[in-house]
Amino acid sequence: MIDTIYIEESVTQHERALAVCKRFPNADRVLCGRYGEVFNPKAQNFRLQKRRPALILARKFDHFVLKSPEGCGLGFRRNFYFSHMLNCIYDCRYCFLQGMYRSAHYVLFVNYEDFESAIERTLEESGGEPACFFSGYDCDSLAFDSVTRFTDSFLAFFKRHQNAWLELRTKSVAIETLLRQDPMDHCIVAFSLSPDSVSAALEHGAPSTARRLHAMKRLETRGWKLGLRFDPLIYTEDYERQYAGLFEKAFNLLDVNRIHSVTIGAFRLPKEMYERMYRLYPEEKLFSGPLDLNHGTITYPKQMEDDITHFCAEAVLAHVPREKIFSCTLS
Amino acid sequence: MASRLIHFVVALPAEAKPIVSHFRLKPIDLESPFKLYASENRFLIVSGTGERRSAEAVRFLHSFTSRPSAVLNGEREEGIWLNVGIGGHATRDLGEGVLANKVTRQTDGKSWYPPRVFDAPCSTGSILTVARAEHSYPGDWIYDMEAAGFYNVAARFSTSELIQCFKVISDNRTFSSRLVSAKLVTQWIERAIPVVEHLEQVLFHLAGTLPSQALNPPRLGEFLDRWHFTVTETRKLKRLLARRAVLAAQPEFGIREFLKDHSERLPKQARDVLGCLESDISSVFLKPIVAVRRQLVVTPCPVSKKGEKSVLT
Repeated sequence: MIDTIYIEESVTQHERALAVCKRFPNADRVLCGRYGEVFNPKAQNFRLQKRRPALILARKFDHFVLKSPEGCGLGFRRNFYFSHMLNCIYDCRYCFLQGMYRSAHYVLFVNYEDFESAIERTLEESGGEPACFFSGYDCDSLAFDSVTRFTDSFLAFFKRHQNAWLELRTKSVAIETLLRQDPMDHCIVAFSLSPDSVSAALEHGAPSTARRLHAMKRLETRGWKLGLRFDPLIYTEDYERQYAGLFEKAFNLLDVNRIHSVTIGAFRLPKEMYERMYRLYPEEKLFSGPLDLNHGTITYPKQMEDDITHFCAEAVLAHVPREKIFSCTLS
Repeated sequence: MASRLIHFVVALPAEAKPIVSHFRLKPIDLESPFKLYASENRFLIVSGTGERRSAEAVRFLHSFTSRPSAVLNGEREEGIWLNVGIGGHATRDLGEGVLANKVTRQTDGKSWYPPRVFDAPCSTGSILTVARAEHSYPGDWIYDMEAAGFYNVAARFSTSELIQCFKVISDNRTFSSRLVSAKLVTQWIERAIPVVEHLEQVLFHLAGTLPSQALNPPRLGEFLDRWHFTVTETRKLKRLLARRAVLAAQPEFGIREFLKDHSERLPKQARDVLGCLESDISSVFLKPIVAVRRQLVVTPCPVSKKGEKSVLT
C-alpha cells in the first residue's frame, strides 16, 4: 500500500513515526529535511502521484488549530479545525485537495501532543464556552486510522475536555476503534453521503454509500452521535430522484434521535483550485458543465444551485427537525 | 493522446553507446556543443561530466525538442527525462542498477525527490552529486557528478514523476574509480539495458495517462478563420470548445454546427461567439433535464455588452 516513506530527520526516533514505519517494513525509506522539500515543489502532478502516493512523516511546528471558514458550522459560536494529516486515501473528483496541494503524498504530522496542547490553549481562550473542532478538512478522519491511530489518541484527549466537541468527518467504514469504546457525548461521527450514481462516478476508492450507511447504523447502535453530510450536492439530470432515494434509504435506516446534525452544501470550489483541477482532469464532466464565478468561488449557476439546495433541504426537512439541519454557504 | 518524447541524458560516450545501439538512435548532424542522437520520439544527449555540463545539456535538448508554437503559447507538454550513468558506492556490487529516490547536491545540500509511482525495476538509493570524484565513499550514497544538475533543470520542463535518474555502480571500496574504463562502463550499461527499457515503458505509460495540454480542440481553426480572436479570447475559445466536447454526446462540433445552432442571431464579434458557446454549454448539460423539468430555463445566447465578463473560460 505504501511503497515509499519520506521521514523528516527530526522525527526518525519519534515513537509514532517508528510505529508507522514498522507497519510498512518493505517500504523504501528516504530521509528529508522538512516535508515541504518533498511536498511543495512545483514540478509535481497530483494526478500521477495519486496512482501511488508516498507517506511523509513530519513534525508540525505551528498553526495547529485554525478557525473554520464562516458558514460551515454546526450551531457553535466557536469553530476550529486541525489537520494531523494532509491528503486523503480516497480520490473524490470534487475534492478541493486536488487543487490545494501539488502533491498527492500523504503527510502525517506525528506530534499529536502539540496539536493537543494547542487545542487546550484554544479552549482556555474560549473561557468555558463550548467549541467545535473539525478534524476532517484536509484528510479523512478515519480512513487511515489503522496506520495513524488518530482516534485512539484524540478520543482519549477529547474525553478529558467536556467543552470541546469533536467532529470526525469520513467516508470510511473503518470504525472498529470507535466500536471498541464507549461513545462520547461530545463527538460527532459525520459521514459524507452521495447518491450511488454520484458516488460511483466521482468518489473513487471510497466505500459505497450502502457500506457507509451500514457503518453508521453500527455506530448508532453502539450509541455514537451521527452527522450526515450531503456536501457537495452534485447536479445531475435526475438529481431529484437520486437524492430522494438517498434520503429515503438513510432516514429509514437511522434513528433521527441519534442524528446530531445534517449539513447540506452545493458543489463549490475556490477559483484557483477549480483551475488546477480542470487542468488535471479536463475530461471530467463535473468540471465542464455550467459553472459560475461568485465572489471568487466557482459554483453552479444560481438557478441550478438554488434548485438542488432547496429540493434537498425540503426533502431532508421531511425527516429531520429544522434545528438539526445546517447549510454550508459561501463565506 | 499526443506522442510524448523521452530525453536520455548521459555524461559519457561510453554510457551512450549501448543505449544508442539498443534503440537504434541516429546521430544528429548539428553544430552544437553536445553530441545528439535521435529516433522517432527518443532523444539522447551526451553532456560531458559535471553538474554544470549536465544542466546545460538538459537546457539544450529541451530547446531542441520543444515545439515553437508550444513555447509561444506557454504550453508545457510533459516529456520524459531519464538520466542514465555510472556512480560509486561504498559497498554496492559493481554493475548493480539503482533508481534514485533522492538526489542531493553536495555543494549546498539542496535535494530533489523523484516520486516513484510505479514498481521499481531495480533497487533504489540516494544520489549525492559531488564536484570531484569521491574515493572514500563516506555515506550511504551513490556518488555521481551529474544528477543534481540534470534534475534541477529537467524539473523546469516536466513533472518530476517523469524525471528519473538511473545509475549503475561502477566503483566501490574494493574497486577504485581510477580503474573504471570506457569498455567497462559500456558493458555495465549494456547489461542494464533491460532496466532502462522497462523504465522507458513505464514512464511512457505514465505520460500517456496525462491529458495533453498542447492539443487544440478539433476544428478550432474554423472559428479562428471566421472571427478575429485576441490571444486571451483564443484561450477562452479553446477552453469552451474543450468543455463542450466533454459534455456533448456528439462531440464533433465545428463552425457549421455552431452557425446552425445560432442561425437566428449570428454573432458578429468574437466575444459574442464566446458568450454563445458559454450558453451552449448550459444547453448541452441541461438538455435532458429541460425535457422533463420545464421550470429550468436555458438562457438564450447572450450578446455581450461592454464590461461584461465571462468566467471559467
